[in-house]
Amino acid sequence: MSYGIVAYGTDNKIAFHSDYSSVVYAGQMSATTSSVQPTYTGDHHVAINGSTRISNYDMGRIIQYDITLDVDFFVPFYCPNHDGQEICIMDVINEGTKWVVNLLYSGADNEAPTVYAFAPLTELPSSAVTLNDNGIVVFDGNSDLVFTDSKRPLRVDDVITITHPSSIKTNSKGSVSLGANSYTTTQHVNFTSNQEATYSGTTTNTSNKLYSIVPSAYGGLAYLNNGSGTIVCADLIFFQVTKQYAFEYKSWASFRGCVRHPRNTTTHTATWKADFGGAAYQYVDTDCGIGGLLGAILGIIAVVFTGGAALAVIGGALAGFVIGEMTAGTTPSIKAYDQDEVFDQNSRPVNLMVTDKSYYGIT
Amino acid sequence: MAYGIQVDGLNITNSAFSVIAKGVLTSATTVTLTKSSYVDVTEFKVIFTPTGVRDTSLEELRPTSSQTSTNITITQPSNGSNHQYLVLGR
Repeated sequence: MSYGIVAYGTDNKIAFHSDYSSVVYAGQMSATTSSVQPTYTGDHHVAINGSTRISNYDMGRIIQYDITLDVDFFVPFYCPNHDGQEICIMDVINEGTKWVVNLLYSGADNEAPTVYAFAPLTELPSSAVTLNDNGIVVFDGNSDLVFTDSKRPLRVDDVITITHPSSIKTNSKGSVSLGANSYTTTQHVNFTSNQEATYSGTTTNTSNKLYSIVPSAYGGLAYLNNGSGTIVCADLIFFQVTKQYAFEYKSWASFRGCVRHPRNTTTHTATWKADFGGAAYQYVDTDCGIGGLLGAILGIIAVVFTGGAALAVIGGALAGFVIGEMTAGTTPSIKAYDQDEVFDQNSRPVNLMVTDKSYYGIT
Repeated sequence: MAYGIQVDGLNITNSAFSVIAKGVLTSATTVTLTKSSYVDVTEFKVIFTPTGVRDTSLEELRPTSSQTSTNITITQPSNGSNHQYLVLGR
């Protein structure tokens, strides 16, 4: 700059500068929905109860926040509800003067994290900035406010680069036992992730720390068990009367890359948590003495895995969410219904920023 | 403090990140910024904020950034969705 003002911190880096806008705290976001754990409930579904969603499907809870903030650029920070909570900011949506965050977290319904909004000071409308009667205000060459002592600037304690593991689960999922006369089932395999990656920072995690990261990695786990055979209806002297049977069981879980910040440590752990799970089962058999129909009958279950049927069911589960398109956010490619997949992970490091409530007067 | 700026009893002794550059990524592109264009700044960080619901069914990828001693490169892949980027510096 040819003229203006610049202030440096004790680390010889800029504290504020009349050429650059500070980033400031703009308010706490409000949870606008109850948290949900959407599961597939369409044709041929196998019910997944609340405890199984956690024990076998490793599901977190999805919740939505919003804030009225007339800015074009926006940075969300979250504060975990408790030590060890896993969190993923899934989506950030701008609707007019409203900003919406979809977030996945581990824990109970009443343990949602708190989310705070930050934005460049130049973006804030004048009505959102009250200048002190005395102190410092700094404007840039366009007469835009770039620093004021009434809005403390974003002070970042640490920036850690995080990459998620290349797989979600490497140990066995177990199996479901099915066969002749298995007309129904309540069984589930175990999709619980066993893969995580830990990164060291320099700042100790406390209950006052705020974190900002939108992980890139996502994926899914899938399980398939199918088979067919012959059942003897009657064993006569010269021949047997038989019937055919066939079954197919499929289950899957969609995962998002999350991050955990263990308190009293300086580490951050990249983990996985499921945002959607489902299981479907179909068993068919013929009448005694009749065969050859099974191929056509079993085709019914295929529709479950085309995506379309599943999406409609997810949409119902998320009916309370403002963003109807949320349904699309829970389908990690059709590939993940058939086999284990991870997307947007390889060579995809993401920056995690750490700051502290106390810098902004947040209680 | 012996010298410096104090506001309302608070010493301004800590550095803070300011917005050096910002933009929107809507299609496959590469943005290159020259560090020397931003006077007095010695540390740069790039953060991305998605703007919309992520359509994972399309195997969408998020943008990436890299730095050398002279440049910052921001890359939006062909199957990326809309993102904002903020280049923060101090």
